[in-house]
Amino acid sequence: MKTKIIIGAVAAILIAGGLWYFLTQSELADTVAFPYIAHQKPAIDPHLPSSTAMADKLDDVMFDGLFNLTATPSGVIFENGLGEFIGINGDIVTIRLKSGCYWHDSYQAFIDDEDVTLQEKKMHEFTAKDLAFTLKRIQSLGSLSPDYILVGQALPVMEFVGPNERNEISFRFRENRLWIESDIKEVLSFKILPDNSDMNALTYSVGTTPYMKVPDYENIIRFYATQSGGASIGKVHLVPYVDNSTFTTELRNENINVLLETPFGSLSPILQEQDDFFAKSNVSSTFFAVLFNTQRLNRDQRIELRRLLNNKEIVNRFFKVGTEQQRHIIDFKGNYDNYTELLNDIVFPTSSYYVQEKIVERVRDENFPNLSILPDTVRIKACLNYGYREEYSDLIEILNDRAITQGKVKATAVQNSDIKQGDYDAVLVAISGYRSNFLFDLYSIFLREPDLETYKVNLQTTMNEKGELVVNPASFKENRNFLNLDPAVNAAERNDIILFLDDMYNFMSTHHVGDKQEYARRVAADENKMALGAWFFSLPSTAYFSTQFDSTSIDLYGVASQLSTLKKWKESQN
Amino acid sequence: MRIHRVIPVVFILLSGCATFQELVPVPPLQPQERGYIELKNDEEDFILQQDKKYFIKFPGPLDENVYLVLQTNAKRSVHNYFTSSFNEGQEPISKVTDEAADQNDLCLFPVNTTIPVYYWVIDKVDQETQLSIRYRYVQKWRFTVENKYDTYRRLLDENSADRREYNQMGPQYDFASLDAAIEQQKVEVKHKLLSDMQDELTAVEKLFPKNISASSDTMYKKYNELCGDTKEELKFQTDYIHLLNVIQQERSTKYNFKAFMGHYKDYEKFLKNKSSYRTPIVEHYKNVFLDRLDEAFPLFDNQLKKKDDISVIDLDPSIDNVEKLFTACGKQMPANLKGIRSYVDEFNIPAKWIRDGEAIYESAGPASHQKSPWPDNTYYPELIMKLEKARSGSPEYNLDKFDRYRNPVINQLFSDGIQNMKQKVSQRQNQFQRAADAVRQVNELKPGGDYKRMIQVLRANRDLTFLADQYPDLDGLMMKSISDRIRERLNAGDWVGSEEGLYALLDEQNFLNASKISAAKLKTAQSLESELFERIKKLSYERVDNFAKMHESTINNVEGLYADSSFLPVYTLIFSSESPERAAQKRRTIENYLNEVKTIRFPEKSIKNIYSDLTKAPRDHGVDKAHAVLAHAKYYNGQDKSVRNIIDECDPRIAKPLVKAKEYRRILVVPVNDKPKATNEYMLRINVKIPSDAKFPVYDINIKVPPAIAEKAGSRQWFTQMLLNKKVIKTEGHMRITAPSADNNYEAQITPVDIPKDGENIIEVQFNYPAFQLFEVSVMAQVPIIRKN
Repeated sequence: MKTKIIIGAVAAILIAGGLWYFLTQSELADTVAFPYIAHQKPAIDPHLPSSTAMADKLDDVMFDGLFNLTATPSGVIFENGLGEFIGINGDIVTIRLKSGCYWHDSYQAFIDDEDVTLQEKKMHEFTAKDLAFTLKRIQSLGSLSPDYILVGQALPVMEFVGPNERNEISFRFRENRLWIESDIKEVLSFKILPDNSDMNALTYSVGTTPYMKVPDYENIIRFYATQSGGASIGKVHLVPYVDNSTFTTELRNENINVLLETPFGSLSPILQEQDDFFAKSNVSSTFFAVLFNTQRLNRDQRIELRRLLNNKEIVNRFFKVGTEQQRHIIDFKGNYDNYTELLNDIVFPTSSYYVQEKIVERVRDENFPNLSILPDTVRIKACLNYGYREEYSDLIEILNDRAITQGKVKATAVQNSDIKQGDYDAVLVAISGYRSNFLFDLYSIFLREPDLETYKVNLQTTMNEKGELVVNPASFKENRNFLNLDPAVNAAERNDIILFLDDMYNFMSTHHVGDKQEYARRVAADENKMALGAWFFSLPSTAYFSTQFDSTSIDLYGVASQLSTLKKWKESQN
Repeated sequence: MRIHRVIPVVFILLSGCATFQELVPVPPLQPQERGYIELKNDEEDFILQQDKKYFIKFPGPLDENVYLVLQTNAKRSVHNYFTSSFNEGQEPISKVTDEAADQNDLCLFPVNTTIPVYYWVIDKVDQETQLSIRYRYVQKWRFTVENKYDTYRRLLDENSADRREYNQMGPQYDFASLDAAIEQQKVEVKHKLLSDMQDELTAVEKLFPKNISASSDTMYKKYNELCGDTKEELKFQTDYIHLLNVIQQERSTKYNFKAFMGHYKDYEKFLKNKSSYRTPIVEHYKNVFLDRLDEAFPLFDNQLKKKDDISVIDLDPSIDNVEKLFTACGKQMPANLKGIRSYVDEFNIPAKWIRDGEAIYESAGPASHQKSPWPDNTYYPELIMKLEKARSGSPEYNLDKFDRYRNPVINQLFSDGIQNMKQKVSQRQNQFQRAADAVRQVNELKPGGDYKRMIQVLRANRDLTFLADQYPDLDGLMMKSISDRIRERLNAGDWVGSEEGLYALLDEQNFLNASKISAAKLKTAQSLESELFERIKKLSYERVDNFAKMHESTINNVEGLYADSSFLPVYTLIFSSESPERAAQKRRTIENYLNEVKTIRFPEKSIKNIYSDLTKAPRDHGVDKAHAVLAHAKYYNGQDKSVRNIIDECDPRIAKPLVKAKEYRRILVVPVNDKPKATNEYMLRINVKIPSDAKFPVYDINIKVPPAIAEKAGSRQWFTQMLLNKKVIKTEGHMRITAPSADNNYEAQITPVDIPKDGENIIEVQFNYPAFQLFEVSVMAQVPIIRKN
């Protein structure tokens, strides 16, 4: 009897334990889940900037370079990717291509409801042909691609010799500096595509990293770890949401376990429990600006409007500074609530290399606006449907506040079609994914077509009589950029517009540091003179992670992508 | 193996034996001189088979000068040759020449007793042939005479002179109708042919045996007869030709006695050889000659009557020849002609005295002295004695006894001529006496080489022009003595004395013939002047070159080196035979060289040497060496780029060009202050001129700082100031200056440095250091790169 009682008790304990485990086991186990705006599926192109920050971050999830820029607790380093540095002899750099690295299309994904099983099919190994294809593509993209600038500064010809029997290839680097290993790895850190790729695909999904993309499930964009990849966590999910207003709630409710960007970039009051979440910051990559419609506002009006839009007051209102609802922030250096550091006075954000290194001086027009020059009402429009809904909403409210804009501004939320038609005096836009390093992208501000749904840069180049590639003035075309810049239409500013376009192109296309710096100064000066926009502020970059993850396994540092170390992320032991 | 070697030899021997077949005549051949003998094979002709080869042995002759004669039908039908050495047809084949090669059936081979056997070889028979052949050994002379006797005889007959004309010459013969020239021409043609024939006969004579004259050889007798006939005919023709020649000479000199007498030897010869001519002919021409001799007296008489001077009479034609022709004609010379000869003899007594005296006088004339330069003391006394002969005695003559030719003028001319001769001879003797005195004085001065006194002695007798002419080289010797003295001064380095000597040489006028010597004097002066210049130049050059060589590595008191007298000429030339400007030009030549050494070669070499030492051991008096380079640089005017670069390297104020990216460039940092101080100031300047396709190039400037300077950079700034184009570089904005430390191998970096594409981009680094020394700093520039991070 006693024995029966004991056996019954042990059985009851085991059943209870199993039931407890089943009920408490999270759905996000072995999964990294972070949100995205459902109607903004990231179009992934490892060589071109994207309109959505998420797309650029996914470059690191899917693609390897010969070397990969990755964050460490001490800073960024370049790890071996598909290549291994062998040595440099004079100007000849020798790289050994890794063998046994396979493209994601080597695996077949078998779907069973929401489960996915990966099985090897015909193995598609990375070879030198893939590298050659990639270099050819980067060459063809020209100044549109930051990689073109990085590679072009080192390789006079984007070609290599080899591979030899040891699978080694040789690049001839330029003779203008002593190339050291870290420089070489940085230059060769561009992401590599397979040579069977389309040269101009809208999105690329076949890489060599541990995570391969598998078919979506209920709009969840999914990446599964391959068996040979060495990733700690098996799945990465991008979970769709209508906008970012509920992101923190979703994290709290454990529907996601990573939030890469918080609303307002601020620390979230509802995620304060340090037992459940931890936060990490890195350098800003999004800023807000009001771009002026040069067809609607003349230069004098634009200057006065710029004076009217006092970004310091706007930031204070935006972060509710001094109120009980103040939105606290932290930067990647650990500084709290340093809002003034977020203020941008010129087109180059304060966090960018050009301002930080004082290549370009911040110019702040402290004069009072002459409202008489402005139209009765300046109509500023914004579209809330492509991210940053929360931020846009607050900013529209702030801009409509008479205390801020003295009743001269009427800001409204509109559909993307209104933006596309250029029906605004000025447009409020969030420029996301900007790089604070040398490779700050001016095309995404000034040459992007006014369409928030589709990212398209209207750059047109032509060959001059010297055989040099120069920018074509047709790159500025009415209704083809947020500012409606068109030298053919705006005769009064034609020369300045063309000069600005030239300086911008020279900035974007040069691989010389000195030229980059000088044209940065000129672009800033040109823009300041022409008063093309009001450069409000940058959004802090704060990420929240569930304590499901071991915080020490996640490194975010400086300009390294937030997901550069994804394969090293680990779940907490407890 | 051996059998293999033997087989070919045997084969060759066998095949050789089978090639030629000997034909052995029966009866055997006999070499005695006889007539033709049939060569048979036992009374049968030999048959020559087609394509076979044969030979027949012929014994050598018994006597010298013998022919072997072969008369055969096969000479042209088979290929054959005659040889003294037969070796089965093997080369070389020595053939005996067939002297009857032009005949179709006769072969004529000279044979001699030294060869025992000859071979007649038939080496090709195209078709079978029956050999018909006769042979004969015969003396060459006999063969020749036998074969040519008839020809000779016919030749003699055909070329004997037609004597009909000759034989008709006599008292009745009309010599005027004879065309002697044509007759002579005909006879001379025949004479020539017969003379040639006689030469051939004489040649045959050499082939005769020694004892032939004693033999009764018929052919020999015929030969002798032929020779005698030929000789007799040739003699007649010779005499006849001479006669015809005399006839023509006499005829052609009609009315011209002088021309007639021009051939008197031919007439005399003709008359003396009268036995060779028919007597009527001789007598005829005696008369002709005597008639012509009547022309002599009028001719001579006329010559004497026209004589109006006292020169020796030499009659033309010679009266002696006239007398000889008279004698040849068998007559004595007539009295009138003898009277002429007496007058001539008398006339020629004073005439020849004067002529002979004149000859002696002339022999002692000026021209003769030139053949006796520098005469000894006996020269003129002997001449005086020689002249005495021309002056002594007087001729004895009497022309007055010849009434026919008496002429008082001639007598007076002889009297004056004799007196005049005596006077001028006496006068010359007096001159020679003075000359003898002068010669004695000169000869006394000669051993001392006192050419100046000699010239003075001779110039004192300058009227004796012949005397000065005997010292043609005296002026030259005088000049040479002067130039020798100048050269001695040159050798002694007495430049002042040399120039004084040159002035004296140019001014010297004490010469026998100053105008004649002037060109040579000027040439000598110019030569010495040139030598003076070359010596001064050479010594100046050597002195400065040695000085430069000695001090090309000197680093102390460099300024003082340039004040050394080695950079001046050893002597400043003043003299010039041409012009002061020419002297100045020469001075400039030397000065230019010295100046070139001073301003180019010496500083150039020194700078290179010192800099080489400096780079090898920069810590060994490095500052002194650098300062020495700069001291030399003050004087350096050259354009050697490498030297300019060295100077720039040592001059702290000169920016050192940095023209290539990424390569470290060593820079020597020299103290700015000249003398050591408690704190010495240093400065290095770099001029960045690196080509770039960037429009606004920037560079990282890396400076490897000497550890001694950099080691405290962590606690205080290692430099006092850094400037970029005179603007201070500070660590602000994007500009960074990295401190040198042991961690970075003491490499400071300035970055990014804007380097405009045009113009100078001078980066200047100033620092202080207690020690006064030289530092080495390496500087490198490279482009910065665009980074993601």
